[in-house]
Amino acid sequence: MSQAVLSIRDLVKCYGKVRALDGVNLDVPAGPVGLLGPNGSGKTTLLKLLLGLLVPTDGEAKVLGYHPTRRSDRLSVRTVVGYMPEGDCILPGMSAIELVSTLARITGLTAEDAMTRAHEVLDYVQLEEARYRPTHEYSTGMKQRLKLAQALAHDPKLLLLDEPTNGLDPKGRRQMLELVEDLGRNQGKNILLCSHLLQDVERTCDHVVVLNQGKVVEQGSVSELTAAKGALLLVEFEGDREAFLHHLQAGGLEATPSSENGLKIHWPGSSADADQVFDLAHQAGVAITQLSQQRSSLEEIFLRAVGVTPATHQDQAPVGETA
Amino acid sequence: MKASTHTEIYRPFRGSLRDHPQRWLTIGTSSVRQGFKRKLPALLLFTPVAIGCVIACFKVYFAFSLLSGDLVNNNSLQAQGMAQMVASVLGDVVENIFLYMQGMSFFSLMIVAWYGAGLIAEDRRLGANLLYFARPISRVDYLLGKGYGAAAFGFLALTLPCLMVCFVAAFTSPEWSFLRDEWTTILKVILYTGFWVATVTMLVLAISSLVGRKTHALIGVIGTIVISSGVSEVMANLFREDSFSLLNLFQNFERVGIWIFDRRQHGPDVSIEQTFAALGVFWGICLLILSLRIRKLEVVA
Repeated sequence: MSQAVLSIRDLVKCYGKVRALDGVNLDVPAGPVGLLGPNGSGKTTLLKLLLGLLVPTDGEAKVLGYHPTRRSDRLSVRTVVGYMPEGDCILPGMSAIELVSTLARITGLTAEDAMTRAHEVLDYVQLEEARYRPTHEYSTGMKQRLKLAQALAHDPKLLLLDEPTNGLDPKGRRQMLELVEDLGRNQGKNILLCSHLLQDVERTCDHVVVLNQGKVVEQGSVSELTAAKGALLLVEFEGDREAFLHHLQAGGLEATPSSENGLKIHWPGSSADADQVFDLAHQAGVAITQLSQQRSSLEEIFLRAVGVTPATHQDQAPVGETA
Repeated sequence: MKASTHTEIYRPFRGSLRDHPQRWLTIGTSSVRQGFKRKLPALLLFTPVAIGCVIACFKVYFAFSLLSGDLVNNNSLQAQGMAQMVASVLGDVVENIFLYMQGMSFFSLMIVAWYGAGLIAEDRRLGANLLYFARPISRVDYLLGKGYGAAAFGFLALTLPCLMVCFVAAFTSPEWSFLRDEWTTILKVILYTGFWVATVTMLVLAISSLVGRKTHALIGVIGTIVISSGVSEVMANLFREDSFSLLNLFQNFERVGIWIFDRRQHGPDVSIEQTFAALGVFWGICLLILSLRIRKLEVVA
């Protein structure tokens, strides 16, 4: 793992009797990282704590060398962090260029630098032709890109993006994801992308943190999580299913029927060790006609982490479905 | 249509951040700039102030002209009589300035209310607090910035015209007598108008922080003034008790003005200490509201 951009130790935040964050321990590496979690899991509280807007009940957090949980650092941390809020937000009566340059000046840029920078970032998010229009006339997609532009105004080392594709149509969503992907993969920005849309995180992030009920329930690189913990073997066979299942269970493998002659075997390792399945099949007197490995999707990882099985999830509201 | 050379690439920032930027000043300046974007309200609100200022300047000029004998030396007997009569009315320049200040207080209240009412309310409605508090600004910076944004209009509506009148008085007084004998008037004007503008700004911002729209804040400010004045008047008459006039912001400031300018007091029998205590309570309430509401704005961000 590369050096941690964000390091959190035993972070607790209580609102009265409610523990919004319950002993969070986290090391976020450089690069684009997705923060996943159902509603009420503590994502927003975590972001507020990282910005120094809230004081934790207990624990410590370190963001790029600053301690946002300490009074002395809570303002300094905001000079190295760019925050794109979730909800609609504009400065009353301002055009995009005024909004971005004003916020850049507040962060510490000189008036001249702020204006130059505002033009640059508005160009980057493709709002160059609308920069002098009042922001209240903007569409949702334009407002989202404006929020990204203001977050980039002071060229922060870490971007906190809260649901950047919220409310966007497919075209707007694609544009936003392209920008986030470019920032994370090509421009080397550290990004913490807070989203409930798994496809967005899967596309733009290399690393994922899953938060549930105020606790980190899963974290790791997307490739590690989908390979090591989610590998499934799809097996088709000819022969006695019950005998095969019995032998698999005796061999310590968990299997569930997938079709008349098919089984899903939850495999703890990679497919290179699938010889064991062939041996067990031979002992059970069945012939394997097809064997393939299916990597778990991020959705399965997420659902497992938050304690929802994929089977029951199908009857519930789709957590990872595109809005 | 985009130029073919347009690449939309990300350009890293090569400059550096200032060590101690005056963040509140940026917030305040941008508020003033936004306020003046709409020309019609500015025209309607500042026109009476401008007319009042011109009239006051003319009265001061006229008074000094009479005192210096420009008109008195006129050979015509009828003109001499008129000049003496006008001189007796307009003789006391300081009194004119004081009266002008009192008269303009209402307009300055309206102007501060109009431009300041939306400063916090609209921020919350449009989510601007999310953007502000993600920047390295403290709650004090935010309050100072918004205060500056509203008070600047009060300065333009009251302090600046009063200083203009003093400026005219200084230049038209014979032998710079206004500057030599009444130079403290300038300081008193700054003190009184500054106190008035700061108090009105506090009231407007406190109400703005409590509501979600500019119009509601505007109604709230006017309502607070009207209701407190009405209650003060009714209670004072019902209970035959002068101290109820402490509820009336305008009367309190009239007493402060009388005290600062050393005028003869008339009206309710209330001491200056009581007046300052009432204004202190008023400031305390406004500051308490603002600190609680701005803290909430920051945390919600």
